[in-house]
Amino acid sequence: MNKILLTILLAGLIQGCATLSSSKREYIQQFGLSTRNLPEYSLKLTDGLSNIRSKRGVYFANTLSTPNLHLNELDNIYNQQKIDEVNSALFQNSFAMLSLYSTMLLKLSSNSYNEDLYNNIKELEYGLENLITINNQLTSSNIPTGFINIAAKISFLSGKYYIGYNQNEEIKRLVTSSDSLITDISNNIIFHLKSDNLNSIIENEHMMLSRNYLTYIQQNKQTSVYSDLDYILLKNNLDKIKALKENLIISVTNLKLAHNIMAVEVSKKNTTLDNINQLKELLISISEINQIVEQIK
Amino acid sequence: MEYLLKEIYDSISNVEAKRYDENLSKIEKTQLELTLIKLRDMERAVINNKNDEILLGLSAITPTLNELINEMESSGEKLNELNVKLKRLVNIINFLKF
Repeated sequence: MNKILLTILLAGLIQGCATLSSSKREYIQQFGLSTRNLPEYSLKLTDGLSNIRSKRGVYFANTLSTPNLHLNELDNIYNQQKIDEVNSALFQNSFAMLSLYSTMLLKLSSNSYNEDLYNNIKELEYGLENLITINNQLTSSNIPTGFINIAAKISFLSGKYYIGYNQNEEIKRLVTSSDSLITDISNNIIFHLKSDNLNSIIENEHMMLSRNYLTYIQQNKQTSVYSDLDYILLKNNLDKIKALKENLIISVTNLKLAHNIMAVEVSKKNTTLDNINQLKELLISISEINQIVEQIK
Repeated sequence: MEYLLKEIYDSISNVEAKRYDENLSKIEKTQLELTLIKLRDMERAVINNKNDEILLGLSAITPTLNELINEMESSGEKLNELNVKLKRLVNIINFLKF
């Protein structure tokens, strides 16, 4: 009986020492929920742009006078699509790192006791380590691997309270030790999104889409309603992609700042949060991105 | 990069505008189509390559574009104005190579 009482007291004591307040836990959960779909948004940007370029290319191919030239241009468009996929991989990789990290935070900060936590975290750690390795190979950057290592610690412990205690400790360690990583990844993404190259491609795409479709109309005097509607859809998608790019810049900036604040807040002993404005900004900007993404067809 | 891309797009627009001139022969129209295909190759070379590799990609295409310009020059005066504009693009690429 005494043993049981002692175990309960000890567990309660440990839990109490490392407990994250509900407001801090909520902050982490909201951060994780808002940012885990980022790869989907970035894919809309790169795929959307590639799709518009391909379609206007097909309109151009249809204006060529010989079947050989026509087919040759279609092959060029196909090859370009493959190159676009490769080129967007690095960009996607950065977003995927942020998303995996967010999912890891969600798992760790979950209130419900999860039997599969060890396996889940181990899988996420493995995925994140892989993405960091790929990123380092492709960019010659030097993001450290092996700094996460949470699953191993959790696997040593058993029982709800011990795991709960360990989760809280690992959340604090993960958030504080990852802050510079999140800042680096965010800065890389923002740098790419703000680059003159990407701006130039998007701005000129409007002109070239109109130019290629004009030639198509000149060549095919009787255009179909379908192709005209398709042209309007492409113009609309291009506008939305431009808006998506601008909103991604805002969101990733908010994400970086919200994480900076989170890293400070989880280290504090107080139970209340001093600053949630940045998280609010992040949630608003992600909500706006959701609306834009839904309008890209 | 954005400057080069703009020049290439301007060249594409110039060639496209000329394509439906009813005074052009079938051969001249084909030459313009081939020119457009080369310009689109240039567009891809700019978009696909990193900044330090763009000129290398464009240099591989400019000889063919030059040949087309020479052919169009020898065919008559109808394409002279366009040839001058296309030569400008080639000159810019050649200048940037140094």
